[in-house]
Amino acid sequence: MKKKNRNFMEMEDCVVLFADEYLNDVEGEKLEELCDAFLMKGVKKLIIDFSDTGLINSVGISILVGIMDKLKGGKGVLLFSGLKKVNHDIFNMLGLTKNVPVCKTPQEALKMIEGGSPRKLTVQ
Amino acid sequence: MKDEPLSGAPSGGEFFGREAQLKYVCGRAAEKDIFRGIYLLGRRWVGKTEFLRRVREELFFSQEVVVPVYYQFKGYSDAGDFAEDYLREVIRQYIAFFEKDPHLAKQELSLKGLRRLLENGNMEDLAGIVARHAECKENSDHIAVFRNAISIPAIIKGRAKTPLFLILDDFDTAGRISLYKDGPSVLKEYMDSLASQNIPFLASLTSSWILSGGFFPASKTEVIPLEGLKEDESLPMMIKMCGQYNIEFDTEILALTAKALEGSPMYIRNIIWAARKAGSGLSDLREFVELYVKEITEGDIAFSIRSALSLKGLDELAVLYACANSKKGVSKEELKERFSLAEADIRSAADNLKYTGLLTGSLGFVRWAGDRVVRDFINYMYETEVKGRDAEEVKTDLRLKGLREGFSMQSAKVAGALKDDVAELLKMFNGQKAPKALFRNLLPPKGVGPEDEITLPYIAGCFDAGKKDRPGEISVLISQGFHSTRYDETHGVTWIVGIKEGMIPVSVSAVEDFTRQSNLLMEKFKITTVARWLVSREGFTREAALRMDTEGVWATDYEKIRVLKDIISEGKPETVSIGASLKEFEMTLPTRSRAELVAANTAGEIASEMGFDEDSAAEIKTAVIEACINAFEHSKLKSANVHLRFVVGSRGLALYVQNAGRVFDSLYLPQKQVLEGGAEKRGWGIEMMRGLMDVVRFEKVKGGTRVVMVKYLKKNGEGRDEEKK
Repeated sequence: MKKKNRNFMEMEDCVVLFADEYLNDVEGEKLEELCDAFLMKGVKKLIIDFSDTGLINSVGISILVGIMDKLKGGKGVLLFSGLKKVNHDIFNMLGLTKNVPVCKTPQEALKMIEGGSPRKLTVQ
Repeated sequence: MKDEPLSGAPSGGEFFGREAQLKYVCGRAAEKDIFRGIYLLGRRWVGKTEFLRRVREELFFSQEVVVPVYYQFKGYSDAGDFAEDYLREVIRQYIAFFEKDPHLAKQELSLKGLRRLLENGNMEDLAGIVARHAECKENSDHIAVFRNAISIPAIIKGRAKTPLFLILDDFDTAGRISLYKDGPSVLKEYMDSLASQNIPFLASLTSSWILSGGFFPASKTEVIPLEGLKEDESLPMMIKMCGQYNIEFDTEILALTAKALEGSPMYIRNIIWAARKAGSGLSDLREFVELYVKEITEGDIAFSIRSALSLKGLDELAVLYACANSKKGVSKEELKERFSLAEADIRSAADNLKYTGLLTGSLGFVRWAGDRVVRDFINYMYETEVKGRDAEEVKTDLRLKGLREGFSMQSAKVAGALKDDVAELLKMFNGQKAPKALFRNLLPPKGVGPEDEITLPYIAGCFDAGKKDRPGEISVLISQGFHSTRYDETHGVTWIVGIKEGMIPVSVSAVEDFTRQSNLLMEKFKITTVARWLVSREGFTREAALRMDTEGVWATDYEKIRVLKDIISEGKPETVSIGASLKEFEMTLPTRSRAELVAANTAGEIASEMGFDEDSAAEIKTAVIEACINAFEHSKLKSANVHLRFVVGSRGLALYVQNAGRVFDSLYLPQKQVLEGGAEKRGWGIEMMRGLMDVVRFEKVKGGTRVVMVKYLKKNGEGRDEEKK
């Protein structure tokens, strides 16, 4: 069952969250609140999709790290998708991609969740 | 509710601040039956009147618990005159509050008119007070007039559940109003009337004598001291005012102005108005001193002080002059001898001056309690009017004194310990060129030429190599940097800097001590490329300087440190090489959320136009965003703007982002903040800029910090990594 919203899409036990076109402090906090809400509801598989995100600033990145922290140590699964090259490079530069798998699309991320080993996908 | 300013309220928030104190007092005022009185104690012209008027304005429009009534005690000496003025003000403001019409508070009405207004508004009890006032006045019974007027707050309290909240300005002056000729002041009876009816009030005081006079039970009062505005409060307002009036300014000079004027809103505002009137700026010390001297001798400040003091003769001026220039105070005997004054003259002068708040007295001594501006005014008056000196000559003295004090304030501001100065200076090293003569003690400069200059390194960080054990010993700073626009091992350099505080020049044994320490440090930290530099407040003995030449240790004394700092502050860094400059764009951003996007989009457009590919343009945009948010975050003032310059060159794009603020401290934090385990969550902005751009450099410029970033255009087949090599 799919439930689609402007900011997220629920797919069975997984949720795809869509980041804003500019991920700054305000938009980052909104994203974090959305994550918190789903985590509270017991959702443990999250995909953050950046297909619409052209720009990310360092505060936005700090917030993403905060989200990663919440899912650390087997508490959940987190994947990123749709990163533009510049943002992928930044995530690489700052070491985020070492801890979170990155896929081209949310669909690819979903497949990875369905087929991959949960341990490998768990935020380290 | 009619949202208009009340009579006498300050204009449109031009200069105020003190939000927290205002909120506190308004909160206390609106509490029911908790307290009886607040005293706002502060010296003259510190902003008490403005504060009280703001309190009234706030209470008038934002609550219904109390009726705020502002009354300023004026120079009445007769209880009857005071009573009529008080009665009119209180009643007018009471009606204005209930009608929610600020105009009524300002409206001039005859007693008859006031009475009619009260009768029409079904306030017969108050109309009766006005009628009684007229009757007592006709009978010349001033005491009855006074007692009738001061009963108004109690009557109002009795007729409605909303009591008055009296805001009493210049309350000290009440001590000057006599109940009857040669009788006591009205103060005690007035305070008794408030205490017996539990009427809450806020009263401003210039001196504390009322507090110790037992006029009101201490347990039921609260004293709030009001001091001059702090620099961080006054500076934004000064910058705003200068902006409004198109006055050219330097932030440091404004800060110095605020400090020299002890944060007094009245003085600060007058100096800025004077600058506007004279078409002058506030961008260097001389301009400030010129305006200051003019203001305190013949300007609005002088006029205000003169009016407020209303000196009754030269005796009073002499007493003020003597006290203003004595640190410990002046005894009555000294005054008698020095100015040939009789005991009665001294007593009369002291009594009159008590209300000015400029003097305090105890144990037979009279001490100065005023500020430096009034002191300068008094000195000018005394020198010209009593000593008969030429006004221009005295003004010249004042200018010299102002410049001397200003310079010492400026140096005190940047000074602190020599070690802190040097550490700050090291952090400003950014590839600038500096005369070699500043790093040698014996060799005079040979002329200007590349061989006489040294290129300073880019310093990434600076730390203390350990505390000295004994005073007079040399303390050591280690500073790490590189001689290139990018850091790598081959360009790395370490500066070991010895600092000698104290008043004794560096001796040969101190040099030996420093070289020994630096050798140990080189060994300990495995330093290969090193520059050793010894800085001394009092310079070096000839023998020590010769030894340092032999050892290859650079030497700089305190004076040269200041020169070096000036050179570096002027911002003469190595220029960025982007080929011939083709176009330039400039932009000013307010410190607002998402304002950085405007700059990023502009940079993106320029980059695309220049032929950068989409990915590189996106990298430039992200770097610009980081530079802007860093500039916003590190601005000294949250209201300050950020200036951007985009220079299009034949080989690349140079971006300059400048704020009015501190050095970006995060620059000097360790670079390794990349996510690894429990990584830090902030401080990645600079890391990102460095990763996205080919050159990133931070420059300390006059009044702020500038980030310079360069992105080179790729030639066909050339990768980014290759360029960076």
